[in-house]
Amino acid sequence: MNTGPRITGIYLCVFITFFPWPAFSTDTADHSATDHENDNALMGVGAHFAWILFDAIKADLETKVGRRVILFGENSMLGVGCNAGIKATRQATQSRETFGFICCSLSDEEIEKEQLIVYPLVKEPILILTHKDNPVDNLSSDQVRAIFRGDLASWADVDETDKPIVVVTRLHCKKRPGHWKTILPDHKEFRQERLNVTSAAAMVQRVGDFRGAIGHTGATWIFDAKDPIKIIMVDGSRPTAENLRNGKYPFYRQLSAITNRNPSPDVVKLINEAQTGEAFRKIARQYELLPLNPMRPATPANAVTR
Amino acid sequence: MLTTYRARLFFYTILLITFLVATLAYTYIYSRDAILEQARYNLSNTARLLTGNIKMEENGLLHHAEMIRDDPRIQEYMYMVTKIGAEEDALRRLFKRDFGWLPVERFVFLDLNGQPRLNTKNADLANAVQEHMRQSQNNIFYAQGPRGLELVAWASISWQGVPLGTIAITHLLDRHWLSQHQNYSSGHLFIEKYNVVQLSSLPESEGKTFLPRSNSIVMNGTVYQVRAIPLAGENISTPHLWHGISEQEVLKQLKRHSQIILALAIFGSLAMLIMGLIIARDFNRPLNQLMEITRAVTRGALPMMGRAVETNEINILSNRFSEMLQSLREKQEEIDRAHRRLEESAITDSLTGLHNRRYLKQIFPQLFAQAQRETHCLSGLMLDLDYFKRINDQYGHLVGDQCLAHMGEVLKESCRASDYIFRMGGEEFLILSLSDTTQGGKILAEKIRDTLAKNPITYKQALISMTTSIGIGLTESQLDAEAALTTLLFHADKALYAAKNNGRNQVIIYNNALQNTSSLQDTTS
Repeated sequence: MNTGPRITGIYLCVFITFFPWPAFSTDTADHSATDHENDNALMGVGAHFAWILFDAIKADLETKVGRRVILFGENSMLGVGCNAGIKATRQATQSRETFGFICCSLSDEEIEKEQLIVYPLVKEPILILTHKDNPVDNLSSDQVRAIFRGDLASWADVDETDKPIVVVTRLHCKKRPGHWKTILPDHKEFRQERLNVTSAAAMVQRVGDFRGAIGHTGATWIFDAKDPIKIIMVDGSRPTAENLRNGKYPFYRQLSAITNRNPSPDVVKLINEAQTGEAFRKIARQYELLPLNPMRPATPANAVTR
Repeated sequence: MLTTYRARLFFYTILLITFLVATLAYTYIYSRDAILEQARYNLSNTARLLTGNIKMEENGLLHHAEMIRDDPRIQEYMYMVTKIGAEEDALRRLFKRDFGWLPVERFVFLDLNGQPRLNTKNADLANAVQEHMRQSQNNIFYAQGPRGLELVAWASISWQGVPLGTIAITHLLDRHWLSQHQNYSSGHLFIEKYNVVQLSSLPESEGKTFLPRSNSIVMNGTVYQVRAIPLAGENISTPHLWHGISEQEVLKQLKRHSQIILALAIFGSLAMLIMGLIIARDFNRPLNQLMEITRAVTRGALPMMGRAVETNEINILSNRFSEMLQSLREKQEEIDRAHRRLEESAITDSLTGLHNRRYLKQIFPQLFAQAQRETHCLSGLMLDLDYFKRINDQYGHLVGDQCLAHMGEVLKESCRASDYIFRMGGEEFLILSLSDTTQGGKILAEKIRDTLAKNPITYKQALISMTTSIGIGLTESQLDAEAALTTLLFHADKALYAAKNNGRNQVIIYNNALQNTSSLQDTTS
């Protein structure tokens, strides 16, 4: 039996099967293009409240920097928050240009330990929330602190309403300064008999459930008109950028961007644009945020490296 | 008795039908007890099934209560309500939002004092829970609610180790619940308390006394077989659940059963009878045909027999028999042909193709009778070739045979179809000829003599002339056939002798003058 043609056929089949034919595969080509685009993107990861700002000006940033920008942080509850931002920043490399955004100030020790550069963005008012049926519209900062401490346990202590006060807190980032710490500097000072929630949404829900509830959240939280809550004044001042600037409103936190010690020029350019660009100013005005940098300086301003 | 297969087949069919009817009748008569026993067994099984289902339902409700207990938001809210004094509405809203989907009839939160903190209208439920908690550790029990008996599950709630109170949820055991569980059986469910039916899937039994004895009870004149379905936390003061089935219903089943048996018996018997008749008919028809055919065969006939479609053994047998008959017919025809050939050769001379002496004896009586009947003259022409011995001696016997054959041909050509020609032996021939007159034979004889004389045969370019002498005898009507033949041959022989003696090649008719002459003895012919 002549096996020559058969062996030739087998070799031919093997050749056809294993020959790399990428030029003829449109799928592979598309996939490579997407991969390339993602590889070339600047990636930002961090807390929800800062994410809102970056997400709102994302298109503007992409135009200015000329790079694609990918952001993670819409859902802080799903493992994306300040810690994720710090972690992403630490993992930045030449080929993986990442930055972070955080909703609370970092201690000098943490900045040094994580080898970070912090780029302050804005001061965000911490809103004091009560049930909409609560007749109280204004509290002094001392009353607020006393309530959160548990020194005042009934609304009768500040008003005629005889209703127990239900304190709702969201005491995350306990080791970092800033944030809710403008209300009380230590979580141990907060009233023990309180409802502690793990998200801003839960905060709004809890305050809405109890007519005697009081809680807090950042100004960039987007409320639903149906939420049965209201934002009260503190010391007769509304939580606005202006009142933060002139020091009349006492509760706030600082939103910042962070990079590692060797950020890529495009990342620096992007953060600079966020700090000083017009688009960012516009979104800051929308949420009553106080920008911490002047308009469009030549280089990123107010960078803290220690 | 039963010697034929048809009779046996018929007997077997009847026997089978009798057996079927007897079996079904026996089943019908004795199935009552079996069905009642089976019904009792089914009742127990159904009771077990219901017990399992209700246990599952109890556990399911308890699981829901524990799910509420373990929810951290419920715990926090409960704390705020019971410890801080926050409004209960918040807890109600939370419960509605997070557990509103639970299929519960009522719910109540009890504080540590046993006071209802939600749904104060459910104070009765709170009291029942409190009462039960005092008596039992079981988290499941049954209590009477405003709309009927309720299954209650409760669980203690605490927050960070601080006891807060109790959550209790209920599930209503109403008519809908009863009908749901009744689907598992064809019987009824009775909820009884203090020996009185509180609720039942049989509404007319409600309010009636319920005191079962030996797992049976009579209500409204109907006997019910009943089984208890154990409920959680059952005691003498709590309701009891029973599952029952009326004996009438069982007997109704029996009646249905008996009707089915009767229908089966009738249908089965008819089917067997029809099948038996069809089989007997299919068996009978070809068998009769075969029997008639065999009868005909024994009489010597071989009748034609049609072929049947070979769907069964009988048809195959008929067809084989038909083939056998066909084969016999063919053999018979072959034998007949051989017989005819044999007969023909027995009466025919092989050299000349003329009849022989044997046939003369056969045919003569017939011709003689014909001649007498039709008043014809039957002449016998005796012919003898002249000097035939010389031809044999001169040219040999083969030429002699040719001469005899030639003679035969001349005779055949000269005679009429009604004439009979025989070779009597050697060179001697006889012709029997019917004619109207005695001269008919003479004319024929002259014609033959003349024809032969004028038609010599050729042998080796030499002509061999032949002549014949002919003596004619006439039959005598007063004699019988045998005697007439003897006489005819005698007379013809005498006349032939005379023709020979007269110089040969001539015809002489017998007359009385020749009677005393010697017979032909001239060996030279």
